[in-house]
Amino acid sequence: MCNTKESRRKFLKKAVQVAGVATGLGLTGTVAGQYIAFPNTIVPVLKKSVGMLAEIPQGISTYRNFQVAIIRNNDHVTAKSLVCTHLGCIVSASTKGFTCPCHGSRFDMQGNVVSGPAPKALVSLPVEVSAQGEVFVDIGTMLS
Amino acid sequence: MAVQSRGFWAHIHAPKVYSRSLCFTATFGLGVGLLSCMLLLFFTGALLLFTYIPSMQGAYSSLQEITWSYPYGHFIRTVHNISGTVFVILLALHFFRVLWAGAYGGTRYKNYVIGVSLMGLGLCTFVTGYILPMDQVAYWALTVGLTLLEYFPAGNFLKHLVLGGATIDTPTVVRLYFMHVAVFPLLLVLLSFLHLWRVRKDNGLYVQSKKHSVQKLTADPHAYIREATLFIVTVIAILLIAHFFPASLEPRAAPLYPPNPVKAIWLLVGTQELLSFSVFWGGVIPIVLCSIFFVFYPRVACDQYGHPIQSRRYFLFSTAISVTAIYIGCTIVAIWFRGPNWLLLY
Ligand code: FES
Repeated sequence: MCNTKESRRKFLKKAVQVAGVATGLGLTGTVAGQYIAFPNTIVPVLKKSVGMLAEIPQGISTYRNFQVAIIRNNDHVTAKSLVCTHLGCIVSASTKGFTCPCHGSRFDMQGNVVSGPAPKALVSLPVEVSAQGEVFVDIGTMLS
Repeated sequence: MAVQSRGFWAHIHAPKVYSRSLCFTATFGLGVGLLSCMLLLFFTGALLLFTYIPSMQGAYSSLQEITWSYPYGHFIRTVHNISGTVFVILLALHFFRVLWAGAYGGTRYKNYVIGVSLMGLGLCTFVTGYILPMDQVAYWALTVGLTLLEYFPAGNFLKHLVLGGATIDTPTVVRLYFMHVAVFPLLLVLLSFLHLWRVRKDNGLYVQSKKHSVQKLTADPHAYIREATLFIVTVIAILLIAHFFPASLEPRAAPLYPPNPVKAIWLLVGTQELLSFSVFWGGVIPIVLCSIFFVFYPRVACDQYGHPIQSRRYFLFSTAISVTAIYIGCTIVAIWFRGPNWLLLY
């Protein structure tokens, strides 16, 4: 026959053990986890100069060190991130748009997806033209 | 025979083992093959530890030195490489053999789960090791892999666990290195011991049944002599492959210039093909579903005595084979039919 008192005691003992181990592991895990997965980001200068507006050619020009493309349409300039929205490779530009060498995503001149696995358009970056005509791109959103 | 005073290693087997488990077709020697690969990996890995430098620039330079300057460096690196590849392939074959045999019922389910964990660990070790040279292929595989991690639960945590900063740099290499040479191998060894110990605990490789004779033989020498032979054959085979297929070293990682197309090594390029359809349907869903299915389905594929139910056993086995066939198909497409910009060539 089942001895309820005995089994209750066993159950309580087990419960205390499990709770103890879980708390211990949980606390250690949280501390250790936060420590090792800390993104340790050094905030860099986010606004990059890509030169004078007058010198930027019409169409797409790429600035690989900043991972951006500047698209100039007469006096209108926009900037796109070169980081593929699929899995993060660097896309390359052509006269027709952008292509990714990793899994073949294609984007048009405006950075919209034409085909391939990329889920969304290339990220637009804020552009500023100073009074002197120097063009700055804010690459901050790419690093978040 | 020396039964009275048996040394530590002699306890791997019971004094007597089923003669049936000694037939080659019982296991195809896959477990022993895996252990042999592991020994080779530890030996060559230890040698590489003396020369490898875990930093963003140092990694590739040290690989160049290992490959082109050190005596036998290229060969040692190749053997490490090939053993790793063979290890992963044998893991899959060992898994198929177990599924076909239905050797996951009753008390053996525990060991089955240990085995599946070992398979996961083996893959993790393989992938981290593949990144360490920090050549072009490694760099872009890492970039893609880190973004892929974000799609999984706790993905951001995992990503930063590997990345160790804002971008791929020396901290990333150090972390991958630590995982590849310490964390995963340690776990692999511990779990392998547990795996072998459980084989003994579950009474060897066979569930006793009335159909088969239960003839037993002494493990010493019958089992040991076969295992030693298998070990030697595996080692020789790997050395021969290494002689004919020296490991390649791609150009140094150029973080802003992915080659076009950039293709992963052949064992992983199937994943790349799957991802080129969709991250979610080609990456996340298959990985999550397969893990859940292959860990839990065997539990319900057995009756209350722990014997596999025939139809479910076939279902499990054929699922494994189909998954592998699809993967091989993707691999073939990716290797031979994908050109620049990942476009189909024909
Ligand atoms: S990373 Fe660009 S298509 Fe996959």
